[in-house]
Order: sequence, then structure tokens, then C-alpha cells
Amino acid sequence: YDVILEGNNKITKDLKLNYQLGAIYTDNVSDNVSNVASGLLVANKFSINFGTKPTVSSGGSEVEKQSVFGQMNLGYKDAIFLNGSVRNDWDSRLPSPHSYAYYSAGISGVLSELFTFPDFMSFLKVGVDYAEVGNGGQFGLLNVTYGYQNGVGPGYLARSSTFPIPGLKPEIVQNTEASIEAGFLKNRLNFTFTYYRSNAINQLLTIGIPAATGFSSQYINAGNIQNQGVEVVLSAKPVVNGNFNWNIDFNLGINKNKVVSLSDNLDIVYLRGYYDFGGREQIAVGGSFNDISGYGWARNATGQLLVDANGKPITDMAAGNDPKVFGDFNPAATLGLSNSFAYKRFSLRMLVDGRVGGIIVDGTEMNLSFSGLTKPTLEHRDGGWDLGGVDKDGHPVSSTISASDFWQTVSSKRNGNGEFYVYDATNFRVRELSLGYSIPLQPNFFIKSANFSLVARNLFWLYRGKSKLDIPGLKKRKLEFDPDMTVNGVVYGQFPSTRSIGFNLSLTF
Amino acid sequence: MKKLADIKSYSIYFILFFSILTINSCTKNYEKINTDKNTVAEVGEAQLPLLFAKAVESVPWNDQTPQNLYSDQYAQYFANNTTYFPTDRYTIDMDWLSDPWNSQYTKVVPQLKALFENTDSISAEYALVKIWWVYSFHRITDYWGPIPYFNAGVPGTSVAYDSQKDIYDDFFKKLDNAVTVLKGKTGETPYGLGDPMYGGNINKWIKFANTLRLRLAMRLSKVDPTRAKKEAELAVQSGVMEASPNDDAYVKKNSLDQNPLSVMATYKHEFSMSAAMESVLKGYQDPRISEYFTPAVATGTFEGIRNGLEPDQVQAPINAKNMLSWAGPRWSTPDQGGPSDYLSTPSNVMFTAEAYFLRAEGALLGWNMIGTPEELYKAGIRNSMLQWGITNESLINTYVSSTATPIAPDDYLNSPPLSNVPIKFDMADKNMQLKQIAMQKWIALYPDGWEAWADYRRRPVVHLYPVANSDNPDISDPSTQYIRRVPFLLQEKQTNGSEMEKAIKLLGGPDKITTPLWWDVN
Repeated sequence: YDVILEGNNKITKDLKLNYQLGAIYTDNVSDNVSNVASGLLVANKFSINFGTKPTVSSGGSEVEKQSVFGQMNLGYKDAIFLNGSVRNDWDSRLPSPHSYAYYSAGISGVLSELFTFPDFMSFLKVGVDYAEVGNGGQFGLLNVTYGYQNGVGPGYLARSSTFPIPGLKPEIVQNTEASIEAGFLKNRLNFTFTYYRSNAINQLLTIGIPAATGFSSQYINAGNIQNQGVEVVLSAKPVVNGNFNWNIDFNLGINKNKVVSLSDNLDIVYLRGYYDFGGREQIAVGGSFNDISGYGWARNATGQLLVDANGKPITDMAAGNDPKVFGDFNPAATLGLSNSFAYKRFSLRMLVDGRVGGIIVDGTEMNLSFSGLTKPTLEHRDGGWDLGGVDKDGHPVSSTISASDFWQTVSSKRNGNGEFYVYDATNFRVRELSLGYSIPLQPNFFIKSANFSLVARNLFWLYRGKSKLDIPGLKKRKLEFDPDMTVNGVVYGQFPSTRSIGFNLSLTF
Repeated sequence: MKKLADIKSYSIYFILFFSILTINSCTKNYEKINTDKNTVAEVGEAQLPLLFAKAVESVPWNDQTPQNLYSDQYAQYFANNTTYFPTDRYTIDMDWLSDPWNSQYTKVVPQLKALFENTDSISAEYALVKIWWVYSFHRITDYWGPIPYFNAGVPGTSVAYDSQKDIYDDFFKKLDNAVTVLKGKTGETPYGLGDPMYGGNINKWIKFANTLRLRLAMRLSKVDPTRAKKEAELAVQSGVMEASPNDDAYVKKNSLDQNPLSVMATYKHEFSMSAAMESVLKGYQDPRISEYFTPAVATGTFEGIRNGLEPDQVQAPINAKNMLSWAGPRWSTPDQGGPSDYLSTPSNVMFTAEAYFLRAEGALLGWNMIGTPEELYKAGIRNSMLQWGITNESLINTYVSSTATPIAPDDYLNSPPLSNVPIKFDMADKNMQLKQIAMQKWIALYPDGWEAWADYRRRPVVHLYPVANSDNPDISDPSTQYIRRVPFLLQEKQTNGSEMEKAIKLLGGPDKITTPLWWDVN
């Protein structure tokens, strides 16, 4: 439950203050009991009573949080605003004294209200904000526990394999933002520029530790993971006329993600636990939050590609080499451009967007290429493929191979050497195209307005990135998979994106 | 303005009130709130059997990624029949290979450490923990060589590796001490139902510990013959396994914790009888063949496949899954002739037959093994037959005196017979006797490819087939090279890197599959 006190005061004619003070108490309890059976003893009797090998397990958690907070906003002449807030939480997930505080402060000014600018300048606002958000972590991480497992005889008791974190600290995200908003020519041209930097301090991560300690992983509060970037939004109305209107909206986002520090003696954290599907995400100091590493084509000291005596590629996996970093999934920049036209009752809108940079690893292709189901595997089916590689002493190997020799060496279906399947994820596409018509109606008709439109989404590619590795004897392949459909850049069996074409009829009564 | 001041002062009391409330009364229960009521935080007397059961059951016998894709193939009990598993061609998948390591260190060790800390050091319970510590760790060191041992289970940011020599020395000390304690506790039943192997039967545990000591002693027969002889003789004098099936060690399985070999039978039959097994069992007309394997579905005959075939070779019609034999009926679904509770087939741990073959080899080396090589060799075969339910004495006697030799398996590569070793014990040629003992022991250890691969590396007198292809550049000529160990794990390099680098020095060679272990002096 919450208790909140609000106030709104006019101190002088030009100075306004409003504020809030409050307290929040939350208690989240979850309990779950699950009954699982592997089959039914009587067909179509869907009850646990008829189940084969029924097992019961129960779990649950409880989190209690108490907070007090205050915030205020001071406005001068409706042009300069000063705001600040402070909050303190007591969270049951944290060790004693369970307490942490965080605050925010900001100032912004509408300069065009305060000063007189030349005519072409219609609006100008600048602002700087700093805000923190805190979070108490996860339930039950402070101590070692032993859990029950079903099994032979009385069953088993096993210690949790993740080392606890008795000194758990709250996660704090610090956001700094500076922005300029400007309007020109009676707001026919608008411009917004934002710079932001966010630092996640003490982010809770699970890291691998030497299993010989008896624990395979450990919780840590990771030092400092930083995102910074700029966003630019431009909108313009080149034509404003009774019958014909044209609007342009353009946005550009540039984000740079950087792992500033993790924790003592720790430079790298591997996510997901395994290299199946061709790649694995990692977090390394100095790198990005979502670098992808994996196995590839083994090379000698001078960088020449290694093949065996039969001419087949020698893979890092077979050679026992370490995985290498392929790159970062995150794009360096995202762009979008929207043009809309309105002529009398017709309207037309086209949105083009795209991303620049970042990579994906296509594990789906890895699986399919093993079985010869992808188009590039049609090349060299009958053999005679000379990869131009060398043996480990650098001597050229002249033996030739077939497509199946190649693809079944670099892939073992579900796992394999991801370097052969790394793509530049840069792409541009026509995201949306719509054509609308506003149907004329009698003024007194019970339907007040009616709009009909044809809408096409994900229409076609303007540009797609290519495979990164140059495989002798093969052209570079075009990116087949839509990077929008993956959250971490390692693709395996995800659905492809779809194109949709449809119509819309909207009525207002 | 007065109004504002009022509100302000009121709010200060308000905050104060809540702060006091929060700090003084409400956080009092926080520790209890943050405790998972579905788990146990402190280990007590009642929990000990459940911890021991977990430690015993967490050894991954015949499990796919720890064993079936590695040592079961290296021992040539099974061979890969899929296009997509590369391990049979000596590719090491570091993800899969981390499974046996993680089972040992995060499922076996924590429970054994908790038992060490919560039981009396002169109790039978403590002695059983020592025996299981040795049993479970000897498998790990015989895969990798140097491993974290003395500091295993100690929390920290790194763990040191120990040399295999020091580890084996500690094995003997622990087993000796455990047997001494147990001999004074024969009336007790430690852990009771929490012992899924022997139900707390101390006499059986003594035989198990001594047989394990004999196995480990034989492992040192080349690198340290003096220590080997001493430990072997002490083990035999103290009493090893003598009668199958009574002394044999199985670990119970049930529908909630299933036998991995049976579980794999419900998948897609991704491995088959090896050509080596086919050559030997068919040539010897061995009655165990129908216990070890099922007849091929298409032909009704027993058919194997060579280890290390390339994907396109596997796809040949003769290598179709229904043209090949799979793991025997006890691990098979009912439609393949298996029992309805095939998933609960107990796991094979250690057997009487092995004790006799170890003694036969020891006797041949001049150790006092209480019996002649011939007697012990024959007893080994007989006990293996009994273990697999073959009790017809005349059938066993006919087998023991047979002069049959392995045949050509008539496989995809037209392989020759695996060897020319007959069953009937050669009374003159000592080298032939060694081969015969090795051959029969290799048959008898089935399906424990983990031990069979270690035993093969120790004294490879009967050569297995060269793998048909090696994808691993470190083994470029499979006709003269075979895998000697598995490399250190990538996860160790990533989490325990500096200690792993030191371990390479302990290994005495590069961290490759071709570097022999300390006891492998061939």
C-alpha cells in the first residue's frame, strides 16, 4: 500500500512549487506447487491421479520492500524548471541494514520564453537531467542452501551449485541526459538533439568460477557497464498547403556500449554456458555487453587458412584452438526516415529504416548447411573445390574437395564453427508503406469519419549485409535472417520475420 | 504561507514516523522472509543418507556427454552411427566434455565434503565417504591426468591442480584407512537406504574398496612396479570380490533417476556395436553377445560399425541404423526385447570378473595373487558369464577351452579380424597369456568404457582398430597413434587459467590428446 501527500503552491506570482511526499510498502509472496506426470495410466483421463511417475515439487519466494520518498518541482515564469527527488528503500533481499537511497535532479529552460530570438527561431529549450534508479537484487541469494531432489531410495539432498553473495549490493542505474529542442520557421522545422549516458553500477550477474571449488557459478555485483550515445530527431514540413502537405521525419541513434569494470580480478564473463549454435555471448572489460565468440577456421601464425591433406578446412574445434571474438551484436547506429504526403483526401506514408554495424551468427544456417539444404551448398557439389589452403608448415595443399566435405567439416548440425556463419547485420528496408483515403460523408451521418488504407509492412530490403568470412571459391552470402528477430545475435531456429500486406478501415461514430 | 509551513512540518513527522517504523520493527523479519522455505540451510543427522545417495548417484555411468561420446568410443565398445557427432573422429567438444567434470566437482564433491564435516572420522559413514571419494576421483584423473584434488571443494577464485602421482598415493592411503575402519564395524549399516549400491552392507563395501585398490595398483604396474605389487598384494590379502553376482557392484536406478544407457535407447539409436566387439564376440561365439547387444532390426544378426567414420561413410546403406546392433536388451525399449522397466536397469559399477583378471595379470607379473594365472583367468571368464546370467556350466567350460579367434566383421571397411588371440589359455607363451587376459578383461568390463579405455592405455597388448578417420590434426596417422587423454577444459582456461597453466607442467607434455598420463609409459 501507498501513502502519498501532494502539494501545489504558488509562492510568488512567478514561482510555483509542487511536491510529493510518500511511503510505499510492498510484500510479494509467490508459492508454487507443481505436479508433473510423464504419461497417463488411463487414456484421456487428464488428472494427476491417473498419471505415471507423478512427482511433486514446490518453490516460492517472498520479497518485502519499504520505501519513503520525496520529490519537488520548482517552476519560474513557466520557463525555468528545477526538479529533484530522493528515495530510500529497505529491501528484504539485501543483507542488514537492507537500506539504500537514490536521487534525481534536473534543470531545464525554455529559452525562447526568456529571450527574444530572431524570427526564424520559434522555439528553443535546453535541459540537463541526472537520475538514479535502484533495485534490490534477487530473492534468497545470501546463503548456501541444500535442495531436495527425487531419486532412488529416500531421494537426494544437493547443495546449490551457485555460490551465494552474502554482501549483495543494490543495483543502481545512473542516467545523465542533456537535450536541446529547437523549432524554426514557425515550427515548420523541428530539431531535437539528446546526449545520454547511463551507467549500470553493481549489476547482478552470474559468473562462472572454477567448478573444482564445488560451485560452478557465483553471483557478483558487476562494477560498471556504460551505455552512451546521441539521438537526433528532425522533422520538417516542406510543403504546407490547403490541398497538399508533406512531412519528413528523420531519426538517428548512435549508441556505444562499454564494459568499464566488472569486479576484482575479473575481466570477462561468459553468458549462456555453451558454444552450441555457433556462438556464445560474453562480457569483457573494454568490450561490449554483447560480444559474440566462437570457433572458426584455424590459421597458422602468418594468418594463412589451414587445410588437411585431403584439402578440407581444419577447424578451431577439431584443432583444439580457443574460441575467438567475432564482434558485437549491437548496431553502431540506427536510422529511420519517414515521408508522408497528403493530397486532398489521399495520404501516402513511407518509412525506411535500418541499422549500421553489428554482427549475427546464423546457427540455423549452420544446421541446414550440414544437410546441404542451403543454396550456397549447391556450389561444388561434384567436387573440384580448391580452398587454396596450406598445411601447418605453410606448404600449399592442392587436394580438392566437394561441398559436402566442406559443410560437414565446418558444421556438426547443432554445433560447429560459427565463424563460417557470421554476417554483417547492417541492413536497410522499407519498413512500412501505406496509402489512405478518407471517405467523404454527409455532415449529419451517424458515422463521423471513415478512413480506408492499404498498409504493407516489412516490404522489401534495400540493402543487406554479407557474410564476413571470405571463403575461397564461394561468393559472399547475403544476410538471410532478419537481425530484428534476435535479442542476442546468435540465431538458432527462430522464426524469420514476416511481410504483411493488409487494409485498414477505421470509423469514428 | 502558513498553510505551507504546516504541511512541511507535518510531512517531516510523517517521514520520521515511517523511517522509525521501517527500521525498528519491519526489517526485523527480513532474514526469515529472504530464506527459501523449500530448501535446507543446515545439514543434520537426518540429511546424511540423502547427501550420500546424491554423491553416489551423481557419477555419470554411461551417460552420453561424459562417457558414451568419449571413452565408450575410445574403448571401442560402441561406435558412432550418426553424421553429426564428431567425437568418434577425435574432435573434442569442450561443452560436452565439461559434463563429467562438473558432475564430479559440483554434484559429488559438495555432498562428500558436507559428509566429511558432519560425520565422525572413525565412523563407518566417514569410511564410505573416503571410498566414494577415491572411486569417483580415479575416473576424473584417468581422463585428464593432473586435476584439482587436495583442494577440491574449497571455495575461492582459483583451485590448484595436483599431480596424478600424488593423487594415486592418496587413493591408496584413503582406501587402506577406510578398510581398516570398516573391519571393526561389520555389524553396522551406514546410510541404510541412502546407500544405493549395497544398502549399507559393510562386508560388501570392504570387498569393493579392496577391488578398487587392486585396480589402481595394476594401473601403476609399469610406472611404479614396486608400489603396484605392494598395494595389489595388500588388497588381495584383505579380500577382494570373489563371487558373482553376489559381490558385484551395481547402483540402483528408478523411474525418477534413470539409467543413461537406457535413456539413450529411447532417443534415436545414435551409437551401435563397434566392429571390434563384433569381430571378437562373433569369432568367440560368445554367449554374452545377446546380453551386450540386440540383433540388427533388418537382418536379425549382430552387426557392428567401425569407429571414426566420416559422415558420408556413415550414410552408406550397410551402416543404416536398422542394419546395426544396439545396446543390449536390458537397456532397450520393450519393442526391442527390453523389460518394461528398462529405464530402471541398475548402472554397472565394478564386478568380480575384473578382480580375477587383475589377479591373473598380477600373478603373471610374479605378484602373490593367491592362484595361478590360468586358474584366475578361467575364474574371471566364469564370473563374467555368471554376472550376465549365463549359468550353464558346460557352456562355460566349452567356451573356456575353445580355440576360436576373432573373425573379420564384414563391415563397411572390410576390416580384418581384430586379433588372432584364442580363448583357450596358452600354457607356454607369456606374451600370449597377457593378450588373452587383456582380451577377456576388455570383454568383461563392458559397458564400462571409462575403465576399459584406461586399462587399454595402460597396457595396449591387444590392439583395437585404428579410428577410420581423425579430424584432430594432432593425430595425423591413426594407424600408429591413438588418444591418450582428454585435454583440459576450456571452462577451466576461462575461470581457473593460471592454475591450469601450471597443471600443464604437472602433465609433463603439451595439453593435447597425444600426451600420455603419468601411469601410461607405452
